[in-house]
This record gives sequence, structure tokens and C-alpha cells, in this order.
Amino acid sequence: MNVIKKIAACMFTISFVFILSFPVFAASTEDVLYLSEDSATDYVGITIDGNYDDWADKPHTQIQYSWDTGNNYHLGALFRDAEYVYLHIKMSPTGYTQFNGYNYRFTTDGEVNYVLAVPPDGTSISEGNTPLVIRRQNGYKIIDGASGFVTRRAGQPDEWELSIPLSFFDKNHYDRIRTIAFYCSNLGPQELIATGTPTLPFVIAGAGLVFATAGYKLAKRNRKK
Amino acid sequence: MTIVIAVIIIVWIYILSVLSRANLAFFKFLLGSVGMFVIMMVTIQGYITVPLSRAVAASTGIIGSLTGMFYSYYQYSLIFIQHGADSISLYIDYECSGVIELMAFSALLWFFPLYNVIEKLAINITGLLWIFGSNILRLVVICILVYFFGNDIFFFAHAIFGRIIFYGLSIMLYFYVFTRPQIIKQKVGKFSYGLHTPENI
Repeated sequence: MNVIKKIAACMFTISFVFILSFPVFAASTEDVLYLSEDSATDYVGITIDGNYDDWADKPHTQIQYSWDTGNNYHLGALFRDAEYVYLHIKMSPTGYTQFNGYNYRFTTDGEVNYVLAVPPDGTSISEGNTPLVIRRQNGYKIIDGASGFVTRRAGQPDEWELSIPLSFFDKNHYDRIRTIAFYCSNLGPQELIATGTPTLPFVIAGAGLVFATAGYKLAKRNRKK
Repeated sequence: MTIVIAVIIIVWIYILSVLSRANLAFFKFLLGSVGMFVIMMVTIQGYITVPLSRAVAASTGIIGSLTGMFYSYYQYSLIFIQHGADSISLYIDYECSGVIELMAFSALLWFFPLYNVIEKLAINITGLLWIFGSNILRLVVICILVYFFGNDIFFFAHAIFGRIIFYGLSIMLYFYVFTRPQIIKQKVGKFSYGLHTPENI
């Protein structure tokens, strides 16, 4: 019975922290967006369909060569969830405005992979949405599970989005990938980086056990005295 | 799966009761706290991680917004730092959220054979807030370093500097809660000044 009380108390206090998080959300004037309810692995709610509304509320980085004095810059965003890495590029409204899918360098925890995004064989980019095929640059093999769309509209710069399964970068341990960086020499020198900052939590949990055990042993010795 | 977990919990409670009756208090503490931690990892970790990581991102983002150095997209558990032309997106996933540390601390405390229930409740809530705050401080320091020194410093900021801060504060908490009270209670031998003061010589 004593154990059950301890479990209940422990759960209660953990729940306290859980409840604490809600005032933080309530304090914001923005709408609170929740994770896609269908999947806890889909953190970012991005769908690769040629519709870019799901990128509108996400931060983008200006990609621009320093020698470009015309202030032409492309916009790029790199996101990841537990299964995929997502990339969105919108070309500069002026200057170089057309799609470029070559020399995409993805670096995952130091390992480099080159990828290209091209229209399916026998097709070319036309107005509206055109699906993209994502291939390894080395060997031209299609990457299973990867997809993309490029959108061309009259008088507007090209825009495209793609997703690549993390298993492409590390088939057996893709859940361990921490840092993903994207760079494309055809677009600009900037690198887009998506990373986590793990605390190595089990080390701290282990240290806690050591301190608690030491405290317990000291308490026992004090009682004996 | 639920049935398996339920059976494991029942077996765990039974073993704890056996250890309790056999007066094996240390093993009860050890099995109790480790078991409690594992059970929480299996049962409630999945429910807590997402709101906790958003709360961490939102709280860190408040400091970022005030200083203008970084911004939080807490709905995605994301902190975005821009340094010149470079940018970096920090994801607060379950290993960054502090959820494991929170559960480990709670599990150890509730099976620690000192403190009464009220004390444990107060210490637990304080400890959880301490760990939560330490994690935010860690992230703020990482973001500030990246903001000032660029992406090249990220590894140092995250793997060394940020962790030293977080580990230091966590170990301080464990020491003050579990070890220090016992060291203070330790007797260091009987002694008295009264008999050998100058007027008694």
C-alpha cells in the first residue's frame, strides 16, 4: 500500500510540471498549434504536396552570395522530425529565379551525401506543380520514400519543397541522427542546420543514483551511531 | 502491451513488498526507484515530453525575444538563432527537454528512506522547477554563444559549456537533497572546550 502511495505521489508531482506548461501557452497571444494528432513522430506538420501554406509560419534563412550586390536572395528552410528531413526553397524574386535541384549536400552528423531533385524522366517543369524525383547524385538511384514538388507561376520565382527519409542517411540508426545540415553551392554559401541539444540525460540519472545511494549509506551509518 | 506493463508493475510491487518484509531497505530503495523510473518511462514519458519540450522552447524564447537574439517556435519545439548569414534551428526533443532527469529525480526521491510525505512533495516540486530552470539556462547560454560567435561554436556550446552548466546545477540539486543532510548529521567525535579553557588549567 505504501508503494502505491509513493507511485501516486510521484505521478502527481510529475503531472504538476505537465500542468505548469499550459500557462506558458496561454500567455501567448498567438494561436497555439498542436502536433499533428495522427502521429507523434510528425513534429512539424509539413505535407509535400506543392502547397506551401505549411511553411508560412516557419523561420527561413536568406541564401545569398556576398558578391551579389543586387540584394537578390533566396529563402531556405530546413526542418526535421523523427522520420524525415524537409527542405523548402523559394528563389529570389529578381535575378536568378528558376529552379535548381543539383548539388544538394546533406551532412548528417558529419557524414556527407549528395542528392539531386529532378522532374521525372521525360518531363520538364511547366506552370503549376511538377512532381520531383529525389535521387542520389552518386549513381543516380532513386531514394525510396523521398518526394518533392516544384511550383512555377507566371511572373513569380520558382518554389519547391521536398522530404527525404532519415533512413536514407543512416539505414540502421536513423533515430540517432542529431545534426542535419544542408548546403547547395548553386544557391549560396549559407548552410541550413537543424540539430538537437541532448543533455545525455542518462548520465545525470546515473549520477543521481550515486548521490542518493551515498546519502542512503550515510543515513544508515548515522542511525547506527 | 498494456497487459505486459500491468503484469510487470504488479510483479514489481510484489517484489518490493517482499523486500520490505525482509527488511532489505537498501534493495527496496534501489529496486523501487529504478523500477519507478522505468515504469514512468514506459507509461507517462510519451504524454509529458511534447508539452514539456514546448514549455522549454517557449520559456527559452521569452528570454530570446527580450534580448532579440533568438526566437522560439514553441509549437514545433524549435528555437531559431540567426547569426549574420548563418542560421541554426535547435530542436527540443525528448533528450533535450529534461523529462528523463525530472523522472529520475522524482523516482529517487520518493523511494529515498528519509523525509516525510510533505517534505518529499515540497522537495519534488522545487527539484522539478530547478531542473526545468537549469535546462532553460543551458539552452539560453547555447543560444547566446551561437548568436555571438556563429555556428562554429555550436559544438563547444552544446557539448561542453551547456552541459557543464546543466550537470553542475543537477549535481548540486542531488547533493543538497540526498547527500548533504547526511554529511551534516555525521558525528565527528566527542569534544569539549570547557575543561581546557585557561581558567581551568
